[in-house]
Amino acid sequence: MFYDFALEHAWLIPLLPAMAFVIIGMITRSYGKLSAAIAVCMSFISFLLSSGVTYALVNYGISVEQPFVQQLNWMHIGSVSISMGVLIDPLTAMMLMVVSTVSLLVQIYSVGYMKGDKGYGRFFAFLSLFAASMLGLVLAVNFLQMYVFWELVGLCSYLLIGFYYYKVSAREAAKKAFMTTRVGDFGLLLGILLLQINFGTLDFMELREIIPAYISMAGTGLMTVIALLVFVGPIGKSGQFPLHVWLPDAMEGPTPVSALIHAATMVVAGVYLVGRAFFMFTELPCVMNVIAWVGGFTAFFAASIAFTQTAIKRILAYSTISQLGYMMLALGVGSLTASFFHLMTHAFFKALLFLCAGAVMHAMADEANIFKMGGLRKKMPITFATMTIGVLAIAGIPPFAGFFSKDEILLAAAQVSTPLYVLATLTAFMTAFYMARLLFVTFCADPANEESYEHAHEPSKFMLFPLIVLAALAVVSGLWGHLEGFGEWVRFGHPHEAGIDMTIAVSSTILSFIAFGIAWNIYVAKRWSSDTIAEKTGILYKLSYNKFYIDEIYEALIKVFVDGVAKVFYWIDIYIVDGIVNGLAHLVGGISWILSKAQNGQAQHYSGVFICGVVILVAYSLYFLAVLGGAL
Amino acid sequence: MNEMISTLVFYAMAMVILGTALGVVMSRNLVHSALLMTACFIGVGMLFFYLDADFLGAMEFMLYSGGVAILVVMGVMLTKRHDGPPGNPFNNNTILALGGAGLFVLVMIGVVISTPAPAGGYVSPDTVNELADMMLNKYILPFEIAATLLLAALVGAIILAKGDGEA
Amino acid sequence: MSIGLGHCLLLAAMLFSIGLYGALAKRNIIAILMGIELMLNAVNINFVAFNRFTVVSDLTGQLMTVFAITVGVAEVAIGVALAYRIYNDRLTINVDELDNMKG
Repeated sequence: MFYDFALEHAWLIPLLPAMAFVIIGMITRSYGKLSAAIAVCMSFISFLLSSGVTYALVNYGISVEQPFVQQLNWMHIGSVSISMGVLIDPLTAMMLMVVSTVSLLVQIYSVGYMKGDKGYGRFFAFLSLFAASMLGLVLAVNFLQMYVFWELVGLCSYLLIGFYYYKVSAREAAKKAFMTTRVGDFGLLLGILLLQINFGTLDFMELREIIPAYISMAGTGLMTVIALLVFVGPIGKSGQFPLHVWLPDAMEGPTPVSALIHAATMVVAGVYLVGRAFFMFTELPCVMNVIAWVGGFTAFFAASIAFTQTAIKRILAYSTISQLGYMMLALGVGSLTASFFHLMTHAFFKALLFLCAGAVMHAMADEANIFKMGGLRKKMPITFATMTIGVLAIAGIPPFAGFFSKDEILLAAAQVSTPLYVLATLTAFMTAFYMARLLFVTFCADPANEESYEHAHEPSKFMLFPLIVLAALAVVSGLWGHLEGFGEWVRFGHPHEAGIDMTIAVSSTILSFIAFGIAWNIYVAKRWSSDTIAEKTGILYKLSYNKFYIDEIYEALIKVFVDGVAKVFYWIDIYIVDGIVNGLAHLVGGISWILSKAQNGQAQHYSGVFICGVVILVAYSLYFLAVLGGAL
Repeated sequence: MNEMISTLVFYAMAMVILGTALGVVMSRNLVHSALLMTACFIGVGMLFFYLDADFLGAMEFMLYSGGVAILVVMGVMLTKRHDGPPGNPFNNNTILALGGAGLFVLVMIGVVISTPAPAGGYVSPDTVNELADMMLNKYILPFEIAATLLLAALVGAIILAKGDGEA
Repeated sequence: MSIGLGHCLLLAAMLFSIGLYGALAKRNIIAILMGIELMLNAVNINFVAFNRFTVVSDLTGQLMTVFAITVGVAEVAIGVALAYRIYNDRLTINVDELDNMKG
């Protein structure tokens, strides 16, 4: 059967896009259409295999407790043996489905979106490499394999953000993304090393047995440190405060990249890592608290910035950070199911939103400022419809996907901590507001620029198809997950009961509607002037508009700290390190200068020295070897 | 009495040899050095006679005092500069050379003093016959090799002196 | 006191060291050659003296001297030829100007 084959050959899922990368990169790079065809084909096959794996999983009842594991020894150094392989449990299967679906759709979208770009082949090569890395990450059996692919997706992100490498801003953004996530990766690496040192294994299945036993025996001290270090990785990768700064800048990349990497898949790698290592985090209540508060704060903080941004992709970027914060919050309050449910629905509707934004920018000649658009509803009806679905989904309006997943999170938060619940609900309200603002200003307000308005048009069918598919998923995935018992499969510990708390659901929905109403009044009906509001809120508005000056603070800190340290090291380098090195060189030079005086090139001098040496040696040997009976 | 004369003769010869040798080294004029060297060789030849090596003594007179001395004088002449007599200066290594030579003498004195003198030997008076006999029988191979060496030296000297450009 | 091996050896040693001094401390190639000749003669004296004062049945020592004289003569011939070449090439026969090996 196909699904048996898929399950047995799950390693093909990341391998096929990797092959596409190699083939495109080495052979067909200069043939754009062929490259695109190869990439899409490989993605499609790996999508089919992922579906097969998921079907097999359901069919064989592979659960979180009894995952399907295949691994082979990769290297063996001393007592350390490292294996690579595939670990398939419902978490993996869900991620496989999400990643392969979104990446397939984004690649199809890119066929239309990137048309005419001179880096067409290169773009598909990188997208394929990204898909391969992300799928490999999802399938990882141990921390090391995960780290390898974790770095690979970071690399792809870097390459794709800097895709327009001839633009200074793109290069800077790529560097910023790479270095900021590096900070997180460093913590993660330290955590992994500590795990290896302490437990001698990095295998998820083994650690799952060892760690709870270890904690009950030796306490939580060391494990807290390790878990916090490991959590630094997700903070960087998933754009949590305070390492979120790279994600908005990452929007310099092509829009499909933003949709695939910086919204739907790569950034949730951090969430996935925490979910994968949840056996470790659940044992440590204080770390869980940290995760929850980091997530909650990030969600609120990012939403408050998204309020005032004007570039369409930046709004979506901050919304992504905010939603990732939600997922972390859900993990922190102990609900793996809610987090991953939201991860799945978010992947669909956020990819949809980004692709819609891409279509809009495509139509408006790469204009990014929403206030220079307007009135596109009539010109781009399909895009408008799908975008509306995306906005409704993210705002949590039933029966769209976001409603169910967000509700689960709110419910989970409410059960653990009221402040977090309030924060999350407030964030939901703000999310609804700024998404409505985005939608209304772009599509419903009067056209701001007649000329570009006239040129606006629906995108090509390659771009419309993914929009429609994602819109459909954004509509049904939440309800489907709710009805089909998502929580029975993707869970940690006992099965999660899917239930809707009417108070929470109704209140959040009402809040969302209120937010929509306010946004409508401000931006479409113009009953309230946005400028007046901006003036009245004054400093808050400024803070939000300038992203709370985080970038500036970092810059100042770096100036003071790094430059100071650099000065110290400069001094040490010049006067101590160089001093030692140059001193040694001068010493050797001096000695050799003295010795070279002996090499004066005169054979007589040499032979004189030689004779003296011989005579002295003879005298010495005569004396000490007692050839003369000690007479000398 | 006989022994005393013998001793005196030896010391006289030793004086001649060492004195002329010192003259060779110390002289400021290269031609004087060459002449003194010839005298030194004559002294050495006489010492050979004294040591019952009459054939060698004759050879010393002919080859060294004759051949080698003439060769050296010709060398002096060929390499002489046109202004004034050929100089015979010292270089900067005098102290080193003096140290090496002095050390050598000291060591040798020590060795000689501490070595017991062997009992008196005997030398056949008919040295020419005996040397010829040995040279053509037992030492025929070294003899031939020496002949080849001389030939090679002859050819080599000619080629060296002739230079490349004057074929 | 009769003359013995020791006297001859000391004489040879002194002659040798004088030759050595000449060979090492002179500038002129011809003078150096003379020093070397003195050293060779000192060696010859040793050969002859050993032949005379030790109990040997034949004249091996004297024969060795014959060979030594042969080699010495050949050496002088080559040496003078070399000096002549050097003089032709460089218009000098001062060895300390020939310091191509200087480090």
